[in-house]
Amino acid sequence: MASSSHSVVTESVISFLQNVPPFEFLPSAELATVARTMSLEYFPKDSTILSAGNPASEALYIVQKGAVKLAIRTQVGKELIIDMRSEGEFFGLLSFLGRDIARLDVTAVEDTLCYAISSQDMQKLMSRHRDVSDYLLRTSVTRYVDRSLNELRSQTNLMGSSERLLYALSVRDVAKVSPLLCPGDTSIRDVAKLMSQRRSSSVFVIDENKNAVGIVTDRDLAEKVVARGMSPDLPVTKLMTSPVIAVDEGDPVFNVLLTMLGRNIHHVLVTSGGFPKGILTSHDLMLLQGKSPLNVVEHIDQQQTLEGLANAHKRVSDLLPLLLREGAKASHVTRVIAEMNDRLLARILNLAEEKLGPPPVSYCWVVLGSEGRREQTFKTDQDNAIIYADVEPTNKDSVSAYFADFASFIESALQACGYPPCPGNYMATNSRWRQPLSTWQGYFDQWISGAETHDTEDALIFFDMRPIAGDLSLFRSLSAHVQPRVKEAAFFKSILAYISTQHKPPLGFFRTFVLERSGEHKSTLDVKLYGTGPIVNAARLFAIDVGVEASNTAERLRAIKALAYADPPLIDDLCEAFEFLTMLRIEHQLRQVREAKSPDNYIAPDTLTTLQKSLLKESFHSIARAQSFIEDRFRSAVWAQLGR
Amino acid sequence: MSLRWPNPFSSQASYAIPLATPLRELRFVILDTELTSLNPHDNRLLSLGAIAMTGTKIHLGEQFYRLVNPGIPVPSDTVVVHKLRSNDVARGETANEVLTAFQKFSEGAILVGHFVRIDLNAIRKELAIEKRDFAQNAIDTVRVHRWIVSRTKCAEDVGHAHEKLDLSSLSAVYGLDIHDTHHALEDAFLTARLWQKLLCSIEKLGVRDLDSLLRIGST
Repeated sequence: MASSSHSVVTESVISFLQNVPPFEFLPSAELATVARTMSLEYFPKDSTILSAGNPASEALYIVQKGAVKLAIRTQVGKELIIDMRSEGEFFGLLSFLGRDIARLDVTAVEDTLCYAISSQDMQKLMSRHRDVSDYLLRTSVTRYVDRSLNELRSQTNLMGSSERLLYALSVRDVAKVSPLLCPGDTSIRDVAKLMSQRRSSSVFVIDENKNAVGIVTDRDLAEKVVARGMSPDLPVTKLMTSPVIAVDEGDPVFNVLLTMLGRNIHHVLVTSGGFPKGILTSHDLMLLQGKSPLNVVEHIDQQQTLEGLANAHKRVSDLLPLLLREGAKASHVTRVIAEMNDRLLARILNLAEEKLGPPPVSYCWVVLGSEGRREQTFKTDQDNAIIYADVEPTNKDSVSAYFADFASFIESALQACGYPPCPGNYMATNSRWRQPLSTWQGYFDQWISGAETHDTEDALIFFDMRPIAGDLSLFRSLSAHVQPRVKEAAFFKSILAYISTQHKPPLGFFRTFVLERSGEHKSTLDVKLYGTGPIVNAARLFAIDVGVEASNTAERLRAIKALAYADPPLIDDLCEAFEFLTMLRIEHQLRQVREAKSPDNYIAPDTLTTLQKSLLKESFHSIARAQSFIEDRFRSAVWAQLGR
Repeated sequence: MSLRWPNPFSSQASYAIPLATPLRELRFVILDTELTSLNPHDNRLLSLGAIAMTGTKIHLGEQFYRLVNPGIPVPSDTVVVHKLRSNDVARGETANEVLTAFQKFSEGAILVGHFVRIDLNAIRKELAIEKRDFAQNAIDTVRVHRWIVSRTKCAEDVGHAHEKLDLSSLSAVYGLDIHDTHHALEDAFLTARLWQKLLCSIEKLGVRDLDSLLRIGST
């Protein structure tokens, strides 16, 4: 047999593993054992190592040289690259833990050598070394399968994932209730019938005291009854596996994952006070992660106090870096932020009503500007207003006083949760923006008819109004009043068009940098003023022009595209440009937040990658095309008066 | 249909590996030897290193390395090459013991080596001393490489006919990190890694099973 002392070949494996977590945690004697169970496999460039839907991986692979890509295929056959693995990184773990089929395509992107450790040897190693299994799970479970599922899900559902939250969940949050139970004297045949009728992959066998004494899975039926010919007339106790591994419903999910892994099982019984309450399968755990932002949302909804809310909201800011790191799209990130803010606000409004008593008349709390468009990033402040029902002159003062207190409660609550007041004072605490419906209708009439650019620019954020809570019919009445009027207001639209084309994208950006020329932000590009801003303005103008009611820029553009209003490729390009520029802003701001700076929109071009620069250039071209479309369509005599 | 694939160590027992066995399922033992000299008439075995593979998978735990005491002094001009001095091999076993152990290690596998005829020749001589027989069929990586070159019209990837074919040079051609060790196990390991590449190449050229592998590579 092989030589017993470490050969030079074995030494080279050991010294490689010594720099690879989690193997580096192992004592060197154990490393030598591991090294001898491994194989070295070679995959030429472009060869398929694992393919989704085929039998699961039989090994954990560690890339020794080269790189592989992990991808999934969407229903329309598009390849989505989930991740790349290069030297010292591993793949295949969750595939063999899942044991049924591989979920990802793994392909060598260059000639690649991998150390492979068989699933049996890996199971043994993980059961002997808790730190190894902890590490592998922490990195793989979150980075690997769940991320791919998420990626798929994110095409329809805007929720991303977060590993930290995965660990915060307890079994009761994810387990299925009412496990299938049967007494021990049931025949195997009847158990199989029961499982098939209830479409269950497992059944727990209970004794007369209702204690679970064993488990039968569909795999037992296949392996022992069908394959090995065990008689189906025998009692189920002959077939079952015992003892049953049970976890309490209060246990953290992560511990259950370790239990399953350590014992190589896929089903655990969930008990409450010792009695069977539910079942948790490895599949449930794999599906679990996409839920976690929802879990934050639930957590916010459960808070009873302002302090609790402020704390719960901190978890939101923890979530964002994770979402980004896991590859969420910019529009998903902003939607998650908006969802969280909406929930927070709704909860604060409840608290306000609890404290101040029910409102004297119905009201609608609306948010404005980027919050109204669901496009907030890290830099965010309060932009809000109250529309309340028209009141008799006799009640005017008392109603006004109630909403003044109400608005001021909300302002300080939001401030406690980390939202500074609006510098432009576009807040419900400003009596001008806390008015009955008829007054609001008057405001809009004035903006629409007697427009001056200065007023119009200030009023823009009100055209991105979105109702959050209260009596939504008030918002709908206002919208029904405004929409038909603004659609026909050629003069107003021409002013909007003027504003939308005022900031031309710096097309010469890459030859002669068109940057801020002085001051604090010298030599940077304001990506909001020249990038996202013009797109937001264009989308708003188009939406008003065709009567689209959406307030979100991407939604507006999609609706406009469906109406064949402008050249469809132009609208697509604007959508992509908006997505890209938003991502640039978010990444920039995330970096600033990490460096404890306050987030802004000034990006230094030398920090951009070549790819980012070329995308930026394309984005600017799309904006320029949109602006010339706007100029052709909306230019009017008023532009000359305004100076162009 | 199956070929009587002779056990290299015995004319008596042979075992059969079906000729249709796919390349990926074949078990290989990649071997290398260090010898007292390169003179095929009187050189003796000094060490034997080998590592097992299944298809392109190298089994890192299935290594074989034994020192042989040749019973004669090691010529000083070759010590410089393989770093095995007389007193290093003095603790070695007899060639007969080592080859008996190797026979067990390589059972059921196809032998593969770089210029493997040299290794087989040395083994055969040692066995002849003990009146043991040896059949010399094995796969030569050099032959397989030449076949690939001959089949690849545009052969710039793997050099041309006048290249140097020693293990280090050929490994470099195939993009392997080379280490010029002249240690039987390490060289067997390097040969195994070269074999991974060659297997993938011949597979692309339509070699799928033992039958066609023997046609292009056996010596």
